[in-house]
Amino acid sequence: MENYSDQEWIRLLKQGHEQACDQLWAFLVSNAQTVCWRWGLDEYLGSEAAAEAYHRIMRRGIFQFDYRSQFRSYCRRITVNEICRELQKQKRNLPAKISLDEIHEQVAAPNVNEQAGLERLLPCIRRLAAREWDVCRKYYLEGYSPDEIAAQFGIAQNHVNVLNYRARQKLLKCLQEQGYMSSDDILDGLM
Amino acid sequence: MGQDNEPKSQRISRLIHDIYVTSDKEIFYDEALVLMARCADALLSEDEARLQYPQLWHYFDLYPEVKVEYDILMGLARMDAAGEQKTPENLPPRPDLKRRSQRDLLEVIRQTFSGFPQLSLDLATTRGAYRTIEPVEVTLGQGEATLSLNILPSIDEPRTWDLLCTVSSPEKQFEEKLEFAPLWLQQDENGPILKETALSKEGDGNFSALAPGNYVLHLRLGNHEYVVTELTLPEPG
Repeated sequence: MENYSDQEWIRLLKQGHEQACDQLWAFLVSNAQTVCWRWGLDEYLGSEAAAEAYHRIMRRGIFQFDYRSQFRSYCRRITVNEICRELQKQKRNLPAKISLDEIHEQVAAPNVNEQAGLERLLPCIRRLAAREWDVCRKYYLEGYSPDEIAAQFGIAQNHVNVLNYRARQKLLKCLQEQGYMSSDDILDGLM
Repeated sequence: MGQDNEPKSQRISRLIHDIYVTSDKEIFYDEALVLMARCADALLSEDEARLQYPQLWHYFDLYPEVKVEYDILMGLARMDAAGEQKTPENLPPRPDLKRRSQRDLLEVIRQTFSGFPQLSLDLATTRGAYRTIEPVEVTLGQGEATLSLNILPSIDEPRTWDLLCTVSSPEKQFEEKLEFAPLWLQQDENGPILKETALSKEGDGNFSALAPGNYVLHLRLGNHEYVVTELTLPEPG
């Protein structure tokens, strides 16, 4: 990447400056190919990820970049994120879904190992807002990544984190009110 | 990624573990990304990064899939610093931003601007005071949000307009996306960006001193991009 300042980069890319766009593209491809080469991934995956990263940076990134890190690292980070997303797409092997009903069934089933922990959790889960539990359930029980959850609910990944945080905070408060002061207390009998 | 292959009992115990490590000072995804890029800027070792940004490591404990990205990012930054980064022998052609992917097409929702009412324009200035014309409302997408457009003669530059935009939505999930949502103007779809701004928390975003003419207005809200075409600012009367 040419030695422009970050401000110059953003200005030139917003203007659609050909040379700057070419240089950004070359930088993204170089990063993606290096990752594929270093970690033994398919080169095609690298090209796809670089193209996705280019779209993302040109259509959103240059408007959202806040100068809190170097633009170079910002672009590199987006490329890596796109590689991981491509990998996820390729390797996606959806886990068996566990619905709330199934959780209730598990609690009712006397021979399930998790019964104790789940029984202790259920009254607290009922205190959560529906969206908070949806996020928490999808992340912890159904094995979706925050990125996938964000796409499913049409919200930002940051908001997925916020909802998960709120859920954990409420669950913690509720469990402590019931006298479970540590994870050992609640995990007792679970493993 | 994630915990796809984790046995169910481990998933539950992980949930319980994470509940008990909940801290008042947690960071979320956007902040984690900034800190990750900063670690790469400074080529911090894992110990240095852990010391400098303990909240980032707490985040990685909660979201191990992001730690995978961090490790790749740091590996790449170190290879670059050591001059080991691969230089592409055959650089593929640069993606054409005008040719959107099918997925993007679904996300772009276009509306044609219905035009500011001509009659009201005559009332734009009376008795030396500026008055606005009636705002025009554009429904975005399937009605999930409304964009109200209003023009006002610019005080700074004669014969130009200030364009006042307000986005509102009855849906809470949209309200949360309003703050900092980018909004930009182009003269035509393929032209350069003329002006840009971001919405306030209340959903307001303004452009000042716009010459009369045709514009295309873009608004990005979450995963959706709304495009208002044929937005015409008239010659001031």
